[in-house]
Amino acid sequence: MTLDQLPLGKRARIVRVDWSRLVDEEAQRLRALGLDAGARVALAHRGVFGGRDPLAVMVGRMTVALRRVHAAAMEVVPVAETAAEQGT
Amino acid sequence: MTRQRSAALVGNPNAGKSALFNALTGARQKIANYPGVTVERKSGRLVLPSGEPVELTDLPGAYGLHPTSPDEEVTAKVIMGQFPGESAPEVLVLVLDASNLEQHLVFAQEVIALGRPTVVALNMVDLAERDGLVVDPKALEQALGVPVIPTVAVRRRGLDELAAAIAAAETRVDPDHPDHPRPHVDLTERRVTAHAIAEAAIVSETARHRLHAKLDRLLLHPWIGPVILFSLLFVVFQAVFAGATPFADALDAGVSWLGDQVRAVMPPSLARDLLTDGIISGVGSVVVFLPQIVILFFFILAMEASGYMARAAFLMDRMMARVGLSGRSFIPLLSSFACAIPGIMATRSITDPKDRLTTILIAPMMTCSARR
Repeated sequence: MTLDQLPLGKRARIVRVDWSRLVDEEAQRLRALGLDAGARVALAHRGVFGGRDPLAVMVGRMTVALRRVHAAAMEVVPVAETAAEQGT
Repeated sequence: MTRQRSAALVGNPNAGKSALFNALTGARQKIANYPGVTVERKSGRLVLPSGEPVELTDLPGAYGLHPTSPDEEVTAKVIMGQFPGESAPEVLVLVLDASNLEQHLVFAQEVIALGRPTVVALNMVDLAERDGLVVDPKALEQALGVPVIPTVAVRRRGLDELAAAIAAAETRVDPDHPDHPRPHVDLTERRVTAHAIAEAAIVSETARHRLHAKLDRLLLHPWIGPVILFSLLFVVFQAVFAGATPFADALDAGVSWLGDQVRAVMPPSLARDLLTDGIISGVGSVVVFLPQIVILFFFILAMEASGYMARAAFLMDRMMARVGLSGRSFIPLLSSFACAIPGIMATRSITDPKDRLTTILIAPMMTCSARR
């Protein structure tokens, strides 16, 4: 499953990122924001118009806006929601 | 003969290294808030509490010591002392963003594992606290085995303590951390450790974010969100174009009154015409637009400061994509209604070079208020 297919609110962990699908500068920005293999993410919102495009992704304590094409480069696996993880 | 002492700032991109560097050395360096601004070697003089100078180098941001970009390669080589013509810095100052601790700890572990004298600057603690995140530097210090100094580079907080820690780290003779140099730890293990350390060091996280989440649910709602956005824009433009009229008229009247006064006092001459028709009406025709620009900038700054701009950009992204732009172009284009110049200046937050250029070219075509 890729990040753009993740249901809203479901917690997941990024397992692999295909950086070659992103523009260098965009890739660098996302990495600096912590969107990298191993990061725990969840979708907070989807955009409004056609295709519900940009995605608001929660990573750590931040919410980052991400286009679907970029999110599609990130492979995720859903993680079980444990009490410990709800705090973060 | 005394050797020049040296220290280097290392850390992930966007950890605030450049700001800390400027605060410590007083040297000027351009700081922008997009990642990876540091591309060249920058050095300056840091004066220790003892009065001794230290050469401080600001290394490019890196994610690891196994380089994936030219920037990271420079950083890795300098730290290891493999960079041609450059001796390894005696002290490594590891800069971590307190609000992004878990991510930054991954690289931090790698640097600390080198076993070199290291001091951690836990930067941007004020931002973390504003977000309700309290990090315990002592717990972090224990977990990492190196001194941790909380700092706020932009407010010059914690700088003296950091300088003292750098001085102390230098005099420390080859520190031995029996359990720290773990040579072959892979990335995944480091991430797991980073998570555990961050978890342990974070004292409290308040529920401030919950309120934000609730507001976001409304502001980014598929139906309500756009309605709020467009009504807000309606109010803004209404205020700009209708609200500013009385002020603009008053200014206009003031300018012509001033011209009349001068005309009445001075005898007809070339100098009088220069004053009335040139200077007064010339400057006057520009000043008349001031109320509109002031009102528009007031709204733009309020939206920017409240964080609504980011939401607006999020909502507008899809529409902007249709003309080949991103939601981030929305802010510069909106500013261009006041004046194209700050609009163009605001495009620096757009990372994609093509988007940035398109936005810059479109911005002057917005009907700026002086052109109406």
